[in-house]
Amino acid sequence: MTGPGVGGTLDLGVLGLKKSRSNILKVFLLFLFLFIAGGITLGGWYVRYLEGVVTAKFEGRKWRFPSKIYSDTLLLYLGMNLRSEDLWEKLRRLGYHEVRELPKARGDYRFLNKEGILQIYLHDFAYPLEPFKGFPVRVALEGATIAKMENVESGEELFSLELEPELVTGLYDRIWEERRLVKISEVPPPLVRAILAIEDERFYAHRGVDPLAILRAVWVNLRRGGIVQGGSTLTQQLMKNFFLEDERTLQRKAKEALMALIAERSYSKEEILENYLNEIYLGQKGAEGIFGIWEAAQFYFSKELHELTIGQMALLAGLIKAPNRYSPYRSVEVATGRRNVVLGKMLEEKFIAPGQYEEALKEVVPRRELVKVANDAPFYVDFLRRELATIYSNEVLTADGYKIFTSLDLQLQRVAERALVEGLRQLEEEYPHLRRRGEEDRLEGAIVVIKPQTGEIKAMVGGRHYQTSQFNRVFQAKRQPGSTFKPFTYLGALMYGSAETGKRFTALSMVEDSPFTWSYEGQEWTPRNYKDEYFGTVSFRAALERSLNSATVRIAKEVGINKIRDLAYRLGIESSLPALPSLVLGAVEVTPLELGTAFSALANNGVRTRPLAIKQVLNQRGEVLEKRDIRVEKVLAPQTAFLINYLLKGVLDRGTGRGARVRGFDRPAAGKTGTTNDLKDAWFVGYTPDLLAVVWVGFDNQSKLGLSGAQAALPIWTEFMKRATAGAPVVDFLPPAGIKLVDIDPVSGALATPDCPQVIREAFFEGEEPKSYCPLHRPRVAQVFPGQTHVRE
Amino acid sequence: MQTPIKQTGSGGTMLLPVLRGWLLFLGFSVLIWLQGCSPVPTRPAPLAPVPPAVRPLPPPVASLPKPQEAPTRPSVEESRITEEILKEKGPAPQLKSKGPPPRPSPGREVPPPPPEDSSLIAKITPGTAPRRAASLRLTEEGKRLLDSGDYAKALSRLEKTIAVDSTNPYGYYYLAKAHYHMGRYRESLNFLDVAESLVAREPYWLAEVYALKGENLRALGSFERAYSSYSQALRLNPNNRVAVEGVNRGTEEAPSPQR
Repeated sequence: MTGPGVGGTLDLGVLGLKKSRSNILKVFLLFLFLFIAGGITLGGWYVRYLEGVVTAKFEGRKWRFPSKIYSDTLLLYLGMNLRSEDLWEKLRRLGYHEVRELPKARGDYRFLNKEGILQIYLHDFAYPLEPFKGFPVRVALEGATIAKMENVESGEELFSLELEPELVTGLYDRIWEERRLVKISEVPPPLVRAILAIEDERFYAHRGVDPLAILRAVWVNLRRGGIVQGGSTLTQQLMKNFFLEDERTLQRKAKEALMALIAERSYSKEEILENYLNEIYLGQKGAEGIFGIWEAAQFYFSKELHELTIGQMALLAGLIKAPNRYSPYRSVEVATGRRNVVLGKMLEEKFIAPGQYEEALKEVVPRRELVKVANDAPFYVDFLRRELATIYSNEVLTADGYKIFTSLDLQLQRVAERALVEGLRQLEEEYPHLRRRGEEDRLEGAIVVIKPQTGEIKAMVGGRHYQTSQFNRVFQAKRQPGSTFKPFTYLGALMYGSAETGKRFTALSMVEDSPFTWSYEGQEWTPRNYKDEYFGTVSFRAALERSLNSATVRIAKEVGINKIRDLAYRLGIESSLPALPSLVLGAVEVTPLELGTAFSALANNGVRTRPLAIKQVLNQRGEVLEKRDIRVEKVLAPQTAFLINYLLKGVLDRGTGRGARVRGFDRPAAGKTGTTNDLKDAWFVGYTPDLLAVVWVGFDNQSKLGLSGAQAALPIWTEFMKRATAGAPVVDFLPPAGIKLVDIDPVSGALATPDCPQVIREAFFEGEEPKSYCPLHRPRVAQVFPGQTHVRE
Repeated sequence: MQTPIKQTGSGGTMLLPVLRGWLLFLGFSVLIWLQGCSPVPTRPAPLAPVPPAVRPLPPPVASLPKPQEAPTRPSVEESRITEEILKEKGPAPQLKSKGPPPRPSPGREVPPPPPEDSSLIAKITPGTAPRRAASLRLTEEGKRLLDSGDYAKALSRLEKTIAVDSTNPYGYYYLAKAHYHMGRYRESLNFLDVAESLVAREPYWLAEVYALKGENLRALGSFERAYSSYSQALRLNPNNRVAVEGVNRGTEEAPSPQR
């Protein structure tokens, strides 16, 4: 029943009333009454609704603890060689600050350059099973080597010391947050008073909204001609922080005010205060926001709340109004000024004594640089997410505050990223055909770093630019490994010998490198060599070092495809492999991670380890939910592993991988270049006994790369390994019992005599080494030199 | 005059903000009215967050696929190595000769008397590489934790020993021991496999490896293989207690009731 407007032709006939002035008035009053009643009801509903929102925020908020990801720890031991620049960077990433005097608080360190003494006050850390209380340490360095370590507090000498893991950017729902909630009882009263003094002095008196503050703000703003002061109470600010929306409209302010009133009805002052202290926005750490005073105390002072001085508390309180403007990282002067204002207010409100005020004024705000802490490894974190997703829901991970300990080494991650990005850029410079105009279809690459002894994945870079493409080529991309698959054939040959003739293969066995056709199950296959170059009769070793297709395939034919395939599986290839001859040259599809795992077994003396990224998962209470142990499995005899490693060392020393040596990488290492037949993929897999890295280069859309593994992937691998192993002790593969190392003349294949011009040291299974001496190189003429008493034969 | 409230809404978009403002105003009014006539109710909201229920432990991660039949070649080599070791003359330099002279076994060269003290710290000399030294100390710590029954911590510690120095055989041995005590017999055997290759030249330790192997095999029900493992251990070190007991038990089932 609607009626437009008052007066005029109002049809009161419907109501059965006669049209008259009093009746019009009565109807009008009725409408008014209904209107107000309806309005009140609606208003009531609205309040109820807002109440629900506030409650949900108060109680729901407390549940969201994002899980945290930690890198691996760093073990320092006596005699260890520290790469100094790495150490300072690491300390910075861990949140340690350099100080000028003796470190007295956790998180401080000082390095006395002349004496070579590092003094550091370690942080506390809650390791799984073993909470660690930080203590001051004195490390004496001789050059870059650790000579002595001492616990300054107890005087105890330390043989090893573990530096805590670094926090990698955590798993968050939407916003990047850094949180630890504190109870009101854990906050020092002076800090609370400082905040109240500067932000809401009548906090305990008002009901959520402070009319006096609003009036004063209006007055000040009118006088200044702009909005310079806010009249919001803490409660209103809390409501604002809950929603974090940018529209600063009058309507929003009114809504916040209403909600503040509602909140004060339902919750006590202490509860509101507690929430406030934990919610308040206090600055930025790169992409992450700092919320809550606990995080702020850590971020600005690396201290626990109870360790803060009055001056520091005043500084934090002062930040609330404009965290970025008043940040000590931005301007020490401005920060100090603001702090002093807060101190003044505290004195005014009689929260501190004049003596404390004077003392606090004297405190110097330290001049610190906000280090661009790049504690992220997005590709690695993605990999972790996937693994975690198989066990935990996203909801749990983003809200239940788990702690995830991983194998990640942020230092190696940095080095790997740099090597890949730089390497790809250099390739584009050198080979114009690789350049692409836009960001689409660019040249891409991947690098994964594994510690063979433990299986730990130390670093993972799935592409050249995460923001552009999150596709993780390390474990998501299946590409053809090409010649990196050849070692499986040679391994099979060493282990099984020829299935046809029963003859054993050694490094010196002669094989034929010439075109041939393999008839297999009714099909014929004629493999071609790179650039169609064939070398005739070559040694087993040379065929591998030079990656000769035809020779390899001949060997494979003798060994048997199935054995080779099973060997690949046994070492760690998980993708299904067809039992076809083309398997030999890597015409299959695998991920770089699989390839790395398989070669890890070789690097680790025939012991396969399972890839480990997640090591432990703890819940908020510190209970271990998951522990992934190192798992080992002996898949090859150590002698066999040694032999193949010994052969693959030749790839780097003499073969297709010698570019690494030319580029300055001279540690003992083994490896294999990989080039696919159609030149679409370039690989290099290489390892020392301690560290293995796989590099892949190519186009996602399968464009032709036109480069070999040695040209495209090897330089990146070399750059990475040079930096990654700098300063580490030189380790070589050690021959186990059952291996014989003998000097050989490569031409005759027999034991070398002193007259052989070329001598190489070769390895064999004991019993398979040549037994007779070289017949070729004997001096034709017996020479007699003065002083010699008999003729040399 | 006040705007009439339209029932059938057309062109409501213009009205929405106005409506909102109106609701806010009403809300305030209601609240102020309520404040005036009812006491402030205090709802006791929990301060400490109720931690979410601990999730049940996830299912154990799948183990590595068992390899295909091992080729005969390595096992032939294995036994050859063992033969050679038994023929080796003289003890390794670090082993101290203590204890009673061994009983001569028929038809074999007498192995050197094994040390009673298997301290790993004793192996650290000024010539020991820093990594090995650090690793040995960690191994010793791990061993102590094992002896005190703290298997989880021992495991953590021992895993570090391999991370620092992967050629430290004792690390693998004690890892095997830790896994054994935790009931993970196959894992233990895997670690023993690795340890075996690394201690090939030390009879005392090789005996330990075989003895522990025997324990694992027995726990898995392979009594015949366990017996042969114990026997191997005994041949290398007649004083190895575990091996002695194992051999005395024979190949019969029914492990001794007490222990």
